[in-house]
Amino acid sequence: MKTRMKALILSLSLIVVAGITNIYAETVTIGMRTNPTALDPHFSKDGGTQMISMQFFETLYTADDKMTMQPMLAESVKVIDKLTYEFKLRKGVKFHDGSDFTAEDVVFSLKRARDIKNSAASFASSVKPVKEMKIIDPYTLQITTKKPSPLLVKEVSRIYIVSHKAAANASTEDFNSGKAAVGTGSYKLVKWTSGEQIVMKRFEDYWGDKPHFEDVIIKNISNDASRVAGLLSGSLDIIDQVPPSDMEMLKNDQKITLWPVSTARLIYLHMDHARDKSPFITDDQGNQLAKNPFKDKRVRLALSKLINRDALISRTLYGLGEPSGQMVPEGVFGYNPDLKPMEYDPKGALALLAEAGYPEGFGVTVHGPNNRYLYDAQVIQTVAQFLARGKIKVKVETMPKNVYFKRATAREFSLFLVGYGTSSGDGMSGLSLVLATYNKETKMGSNNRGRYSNPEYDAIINKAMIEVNEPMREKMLQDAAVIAFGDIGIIPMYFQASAWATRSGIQYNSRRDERTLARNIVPAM
Amino acid sequence: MSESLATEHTATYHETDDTLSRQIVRGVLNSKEATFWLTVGLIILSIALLAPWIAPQDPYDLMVLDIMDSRMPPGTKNFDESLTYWLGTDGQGRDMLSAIMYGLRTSISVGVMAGVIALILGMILGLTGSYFGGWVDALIMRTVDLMLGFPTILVALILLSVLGQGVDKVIMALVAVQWANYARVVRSAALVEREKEYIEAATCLGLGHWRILFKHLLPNCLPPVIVIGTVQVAHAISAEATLSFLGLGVPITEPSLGLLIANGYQLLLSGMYWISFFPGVVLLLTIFSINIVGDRIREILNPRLLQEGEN
Repeated sequence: MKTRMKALILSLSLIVVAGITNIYAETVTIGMRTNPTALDPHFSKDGGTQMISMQFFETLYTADDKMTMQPMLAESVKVIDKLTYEFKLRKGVKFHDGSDFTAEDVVFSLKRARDIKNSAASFASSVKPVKEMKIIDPYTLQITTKKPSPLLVKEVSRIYIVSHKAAANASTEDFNSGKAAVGTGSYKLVKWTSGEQIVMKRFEDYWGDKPHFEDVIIKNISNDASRVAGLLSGSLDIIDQVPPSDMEMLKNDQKITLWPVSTARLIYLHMDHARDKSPFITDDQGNQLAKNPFKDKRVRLALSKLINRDALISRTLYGLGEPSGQMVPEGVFGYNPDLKPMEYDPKGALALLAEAGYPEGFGVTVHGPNNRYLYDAQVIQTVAQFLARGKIKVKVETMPKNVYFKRATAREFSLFLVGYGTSSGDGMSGLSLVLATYNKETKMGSNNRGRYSNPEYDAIINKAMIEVNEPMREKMLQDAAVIAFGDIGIIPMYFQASAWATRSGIQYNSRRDERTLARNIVPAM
Repeated sequence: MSESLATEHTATYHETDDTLSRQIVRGVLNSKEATFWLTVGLIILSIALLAPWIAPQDPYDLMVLDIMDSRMPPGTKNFDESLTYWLGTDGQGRDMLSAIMYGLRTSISVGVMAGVIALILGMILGLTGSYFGGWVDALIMRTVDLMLGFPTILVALILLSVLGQGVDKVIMALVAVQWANYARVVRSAALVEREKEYIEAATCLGLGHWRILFKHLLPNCLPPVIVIGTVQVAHAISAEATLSFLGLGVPITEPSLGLLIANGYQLLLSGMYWISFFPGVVLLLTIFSINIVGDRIREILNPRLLQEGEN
């Protein structure tokens, strides 16, 4: 009897305790569009795999929610000379198996990422500038490069650090089974069912702020409608990549909250700068024009003034965008706060066109993809509508992306819509690939399908490529942007946005890089 | 003797031909249901023909569209209240009523054009095959079998992705997938007819092949062709809608009914039903009216059906 009573009291008190701590033991279920190819963080740098690696593994530096680089496993880095970097590593960091994180793990991980086998998209190129790694003491690491590499810190920070003990001789399968998947991240792996779900648990010995939810299940659901249905039915707590067409419905649902963010993917109009006679330029009667109006800066400026960016975003994109006047959004290295989005000014545009000798406009076909970017075909139609306000006779042609990009790269178009996403948190890539003078050998300007070319701009970019002093490099990128966007080398329109949706009661701290991290899920305030 | 026989037969079919059209008109008007749907069909046809004059807006003129008026519910007035969007607007700010009128024009003209061209092509090949027989027939009919073996939409999709986009390309693709149906029907009808005495007589008279084919054989093969013609035009209209819905048909700035439906279907869940709903209803009415009238014509031309009722 007595023991029974004891048992009753014990179980009752357990229930009470469980009731109190219930909030901390909550499980959160994520509906994620992408699917990892492996749990080996060095196996593939595709987005879906990295999104999962980031839950369990950490890097030396990391991009924060606004894509600004912040120290993570490294505490600081010192440039010793043009070729040598010294990393001070964080002390007191533990791996999921309880062992300590040291410089040896960094060296092991960088080498493993370089030598990984059977990878379709390996990180080898990120480790390529590294010539030598020297462990000074367990928390100090010196890396020497082959030649000045200003992006070295960012590149080696793409490599996830694995435990050199747990992952010694481990194959990708060992990671997939969970045996070798030992990182320093705030969550540890419980079980992965390929193509279906990932179960993970909070790592209680995590060195930084511990995430809120103890148990997390990530369900990989690539179908948009299924994800939304899962959220509405309550089987999912949060979904990523909300389909824009469902925005309106979810916005009006009291039980759902949306967490939008504008990404670093710039959607812009590219113009044929180089040729005197451009294939899709006609006079207002439809005859091919001998002169290419886009060679005239006034015409390019007029086109930019004709784009009503706010209307485009609010009406065509359901609010999922942020007007832009340059390559990268605020927070990304190289952002220039002085470059504002062009004001909508149809009167000014008409005046400029008249001044340039096109008072009655000209004819042009706008080309674009219809399955690449958010609402791309709709956006192109709206752009055509805007250009028509400038008396330009516009035709629209859209096509599937596999046909479109081949033709765009072959320079078959005169005016066309493209996007460029800066994923590294550094503005260098966009400026050098989209706006630098095209050069087949150096790969400069390889996305420069309009062939904008300005020697003054190229000179700054070439200098920035080898500048290791960060403040000076930032100034160079900002100066370069002023030149290219002052010339209207391209017409920047907006940064494409994406959104998460949660059931009310929880909040997602949106990330500009569109990554869905379990640690960013917190209770709503 | 044989000459007079031939003349007599020529006279006979002219007479039958004459009564054929009269017979059809009378037969359709005799049925209340068919008359009703014929009227609906004619109204739709006249709207399509008169669209440029009666539509409140030219939905293909980018100058008059305003993105700020996009996705307005039915009955909203535009900015300066000069225009009421009775059926709402689509995602680009097009007046849905005007867009439907113009879209109908595209849909019907594509359907009819494709139907007529396929009919002519199929008829010529079917007649030729049945009349000459032998390897000509075998070649034509094996090609027909091959064409009918593939799903219509699949063939059209492949053709369009090779040919590119545009109204003319859509017509070409639809002709390519439809001519085989006509060829088969015409051939089977002609196979029966060519065994009849009047053809034999015409052959005995030494008339040329082509003259026999088109002046004697063809008119007598018409009844089944008329029936399948109505079905195929309706089919062409829905096929065009399907292709446009899949994004492979008409240019996006000049939407047909299928493209209008495609533009709005993702918004149905968000409560913006009008972008897909109204074009869908009009498409349904168009195809339904053609099919009902076509069915009635089939009954008239096949008296057995009239007696036994629909099977």
